[in-house]
Amino acid sequence: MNIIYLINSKEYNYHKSLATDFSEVTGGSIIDMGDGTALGVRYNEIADAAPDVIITFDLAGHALRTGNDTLSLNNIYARYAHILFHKPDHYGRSLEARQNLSMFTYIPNGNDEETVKCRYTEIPNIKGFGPFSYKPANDKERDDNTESIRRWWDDFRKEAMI
Amino acid sequence: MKLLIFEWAAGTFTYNDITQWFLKKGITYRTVSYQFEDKNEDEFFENRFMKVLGDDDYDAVFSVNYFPLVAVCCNRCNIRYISWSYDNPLDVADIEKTLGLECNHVFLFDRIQTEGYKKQGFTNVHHMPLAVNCERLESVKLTKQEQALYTSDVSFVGKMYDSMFPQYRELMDDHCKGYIDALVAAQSKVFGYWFAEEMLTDDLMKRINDHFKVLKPGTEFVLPREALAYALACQITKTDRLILLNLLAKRMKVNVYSWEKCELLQNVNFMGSCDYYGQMTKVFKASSINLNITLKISQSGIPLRVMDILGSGGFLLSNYQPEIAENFINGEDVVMYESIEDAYEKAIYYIRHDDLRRQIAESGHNRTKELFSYDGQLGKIFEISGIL
Repeated sequence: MNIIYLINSKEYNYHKSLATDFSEVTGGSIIDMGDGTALGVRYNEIADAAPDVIITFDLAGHALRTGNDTLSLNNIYARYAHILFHKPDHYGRSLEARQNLSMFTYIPNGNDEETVKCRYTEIPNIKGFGPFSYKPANDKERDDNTESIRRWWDDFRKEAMI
Repeated sequence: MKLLIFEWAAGTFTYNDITQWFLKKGITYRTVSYQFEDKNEDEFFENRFMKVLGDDDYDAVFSVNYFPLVAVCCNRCNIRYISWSYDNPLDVADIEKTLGLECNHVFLFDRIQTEGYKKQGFTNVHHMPLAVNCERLESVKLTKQEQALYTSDVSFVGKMYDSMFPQYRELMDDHCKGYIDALVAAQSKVFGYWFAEEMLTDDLMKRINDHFKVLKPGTEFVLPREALAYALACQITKTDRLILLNLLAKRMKVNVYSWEKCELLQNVNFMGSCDYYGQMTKVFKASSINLNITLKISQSGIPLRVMDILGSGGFLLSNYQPEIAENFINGEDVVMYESIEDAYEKAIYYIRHDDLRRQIAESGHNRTKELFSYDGQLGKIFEISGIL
């Protein structure tokens, strides 16, 4: 299975290490949206890779927009998991963009999923994720994270029918 | 009334104007979108879409253009599915397998295309010309800089079409090549009647496909008649566009707006693409002549581009289309040509007659406003579908 992680290490310094932790469970390659590459070039690179699954951290792929300001990723046939490590309010208007039916947005546990669904009506699939520490302080937290990633991956594969 | 709107993930040109009408009418809606790899088979989509349908009590599902799997899901849930297409052809393989589903209310802008489906027994397919939001377009104003940027004698917004025709032709025997070349030459000279597809007889298609097998034994590729017809239409349309634009560019300033630069175009100003809701209206307003060269396979209908030009108050020079002729007076509301030579001569004439051109543009705009509003067309669609 061709899996691509989209991260932005310039904006979120924990993305690289988390992507490594996730990909140890799921496999896949990592693309850093914060490395200065032009967005158009990035989009073509992702589309040309024809991924089966695209996993983004903190909406790293939402910067890719069409001329009409819709999400460019909507146009790439794949299954998507958008994993958010912060409360939805943190992302401002980015979460208001319409996501297509193949996108699953995971919000940190502790947020009321129903309230988030009512607030962000253009997101078709919202689910909880965690418990998770995006900056694990010790081995215990790291182990717990791995367990959470495994549970999430099982759930996502089931939902996404892959 | 509560609607579920299904939208192609890449977006559709008319979505904003349609949803604006829904809001005006107090119709509530939710929109979901998806990118298909195969429009006819996608278990994941069916699964998700069925869940969405179950989320609420929808009175109907609406989409711009027709999606077979949406129809399949709606039929399963006994929910009306209303689709209104601005594409022609519909680009749905094996459409006959789902078109007749009881849930379907399919609206097409081309009358001949509609009649074709009706003849096949699809009584739920209806003819509905497209619409334009004149009020929105009237409110678009150009700054001095934009006026300077977009002003031209002739503008053309559209692509040059990449046709598979040369590749298909290469695989034909000499007899078929000769036949097809003659067909292309004949169809190129006729505007307003698409006869090429009728001339692709069963015997000819068999001969073409048999020859493929001779060239590539064991091949499972079969060229369908519809695919060859579409390739022919693209080829002829591309040639028409290239010849006319190159001819005009020798005499006047011609701006072409397209995603891809075509190296075969000479002396024209390639302006890149222009977005539908922002720049396009400004282009039409600032251009003396707006060209419409319809894809040949669209036999009678008024294409969206024509609606956009007229709705913007632009002067339209178009190929002859039966439904344009039925709804507008040639020479008073619009100007139509019946050959490339005719188009060239008319462009030369009208570029010299500013007042007449402005008068025609205004008259065409008023007629469009009167006949093709979203209020009128969507009102009819919902009435025919039995939910208004």
